[in-house]
Amino acid sequence: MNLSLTDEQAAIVGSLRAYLGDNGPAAGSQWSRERWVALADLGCLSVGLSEQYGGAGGSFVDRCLILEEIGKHLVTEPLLLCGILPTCILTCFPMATGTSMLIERVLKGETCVVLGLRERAAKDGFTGLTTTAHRLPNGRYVLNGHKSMAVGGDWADTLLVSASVGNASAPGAAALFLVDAETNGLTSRQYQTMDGGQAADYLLDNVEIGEECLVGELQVGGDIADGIVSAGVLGGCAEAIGAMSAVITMTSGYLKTRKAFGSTLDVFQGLQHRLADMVCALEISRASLYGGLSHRYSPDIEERQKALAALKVVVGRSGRFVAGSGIQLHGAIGIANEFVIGRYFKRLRILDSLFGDCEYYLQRYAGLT
Amino acid sequence: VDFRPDQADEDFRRNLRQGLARIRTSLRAQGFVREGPRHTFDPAEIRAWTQALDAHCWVAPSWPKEHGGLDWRPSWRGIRDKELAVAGCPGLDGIGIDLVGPVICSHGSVEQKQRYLPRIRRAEDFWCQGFSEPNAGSDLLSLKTTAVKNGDAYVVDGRKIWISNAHHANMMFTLVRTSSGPGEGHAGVSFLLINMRSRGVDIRPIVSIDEQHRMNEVTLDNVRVPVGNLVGEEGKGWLYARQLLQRERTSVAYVARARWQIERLKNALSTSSPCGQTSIDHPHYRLKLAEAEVELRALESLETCVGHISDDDPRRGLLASILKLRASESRQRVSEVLLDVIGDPGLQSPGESGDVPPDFKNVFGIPDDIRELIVSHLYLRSATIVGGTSEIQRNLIAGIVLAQAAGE
Repeated sequence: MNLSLTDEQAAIVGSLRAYLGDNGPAAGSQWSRERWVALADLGCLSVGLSEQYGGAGGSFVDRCLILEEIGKHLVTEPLLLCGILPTCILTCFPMATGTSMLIERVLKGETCVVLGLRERAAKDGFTGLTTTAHRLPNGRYVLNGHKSMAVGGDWADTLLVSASVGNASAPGAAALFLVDAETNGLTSRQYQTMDGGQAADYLLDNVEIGEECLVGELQVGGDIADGIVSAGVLGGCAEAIGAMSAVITMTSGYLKTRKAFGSTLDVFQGLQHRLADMVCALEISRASLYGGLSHRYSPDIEERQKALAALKVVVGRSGRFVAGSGIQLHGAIGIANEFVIGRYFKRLRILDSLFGDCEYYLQRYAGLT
Repeated sequence: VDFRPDQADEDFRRNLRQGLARIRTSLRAQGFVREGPRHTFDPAEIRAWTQALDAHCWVAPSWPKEHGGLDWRPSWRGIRDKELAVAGCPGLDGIGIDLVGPVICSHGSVEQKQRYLPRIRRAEDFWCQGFSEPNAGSDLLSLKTTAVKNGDAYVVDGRKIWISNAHHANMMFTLVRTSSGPGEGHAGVSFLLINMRSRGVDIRPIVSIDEQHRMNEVTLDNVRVPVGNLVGEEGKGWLYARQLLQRERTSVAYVARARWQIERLKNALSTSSPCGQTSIDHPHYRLKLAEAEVELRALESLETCVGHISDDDPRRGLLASILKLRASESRQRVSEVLLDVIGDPGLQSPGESGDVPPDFKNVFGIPDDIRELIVSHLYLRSATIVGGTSEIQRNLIAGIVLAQAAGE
């Protein structure tokens, strides 16, 4: 075990910081195409993806380091959901020519893919799937069901959809499909998420797609589904840790500057102790992420899932506490919409919800789901 | 960044496990192998284990090699503590091994190293820590015990309080004032080793809320301490003490005990109640257990991180405080749940013997280790006070972060 950065890792993080600015959030909560392409050029999408798929190589740890910076700077463009995870998922399966071209375009920043995994009950995108895919005699598929809060909005023209293909003899069988956003039977309600992102709820009503749209089959709770959820959870947690650390930097700076009762706020012990608890929450989350990363390749699937659930619980609860406390210690200015700390609060709430929130994972850890 | 245990870690663990299995076999024959935590201090048991471990250099592996340490990595500490706990090893003299030992290694004289280090490694001495005074607890620099040089000795006068194990120890390390005056602060504080058998040392027991005698008040009345027992230089005692206190924070976190506690909780939840239903089937308790386990995992990861940071990295102090704070609070919470699950039997006086007739045990669900559970529950209130209170830890953490923050 080694906690220091390699030269390559330090270089990626360094160039990202140089682009995003050493401190503080990226300007504006609206998505920017320009920033998306610039981040793609910096390697944010290709680092961690094997060279054989056009990536820059490297490990999942490298991705987490990048995502931590992304979180710290409150970059709301959906790097994880629409760039990193879709390419990561597509490379889990044998690939058609069309798919490798799609990956190439995503890596260049030309397009992105909407993850249509999440459902009202199937929070991690697989467990308890209700969307179904029925195979017709001619090999085509018909999809029925719904997908909730799929981030990507009008940036993407392709959805990556999970659906159950199981029956009594093969329970838990599922498959992933690439679905064109214009396909008949697919309707959406587009909306903005509280952190300024663009998302949509989709209804799938007899959406008929060709055989070539099948990305691959997998088993709910099996290695592939587990690997996808784990990538999403680890990435989202890395981003949350970056966001928490930014909130703490901002809050401690504020306490040293703002005056009340004839002194700067940093001398008041009540405030110091709240800050200390925020730091505890951040560092215990970071240590848990390291723990989660070290379990990612563990052969014991139950142990892997428990470690992941524990990570989600710790990071989700910590994020809520840190962001809430950040607002509290700023006082009224923390409530102002134009002030940035509220954006971290909202962002952390969204990050917690990815692939299931902390309360969902607590129940899962307890074996209640 | 690579968080996975590597081959060297695995080799160390395997080697340790094999060695411990052999040690258990030979010690079991002498009646020194027990399970679970202990609430009685048995010097013979501790000495037997310590000496068996010392044959492999596992007592003080982090000490320099010439004093009996190993080529050692920080990450092995967690591995060692875990394996020792699993093997049923009693608590070793951590006060000697982890607190005063490293101070003597770094700042002690040649004579002090030759005399005390081997005796610590073989549990021939037992140590206690004489820092707190009636009017100097969290505010340790208010200490008033004086040591005045008189010929070849310091004459020590003062009172030290809340001293764990003073009644078992034959040696005490203390902070004393070798010079005083207005504005002296830490400049007049020195680090002195005192033999508890010296004339003028008086030990008075203080019974804690668990009705146990663990702590003591030690009065030092004209105690003559050879000048050779001064560690390092006069007036540098505060510096050595600060290094020691930081080390203490990692050792008092006791993540290994938290793990044992959760195993005990699981066991209590699975034991069926008189109406046949076990608590583990109840969603409320499943969530409580899950919360405890999740927190334990986080603490284990944090402990691993602390273990991987070298002593001179400023982040070590920060993480050690966080670990101490969170682990102690978490252990208190888990103990509350455990006692809730046990129910009425958990409300007995800790002074009651665990000697309950079998029919009463069955009908009232009184576990065999009821006394240990009650004692440890009550004494756990001290976890957030010893080794720097939770409030002191929060001061330290906030201080570090605010010092880094950009102000005006």
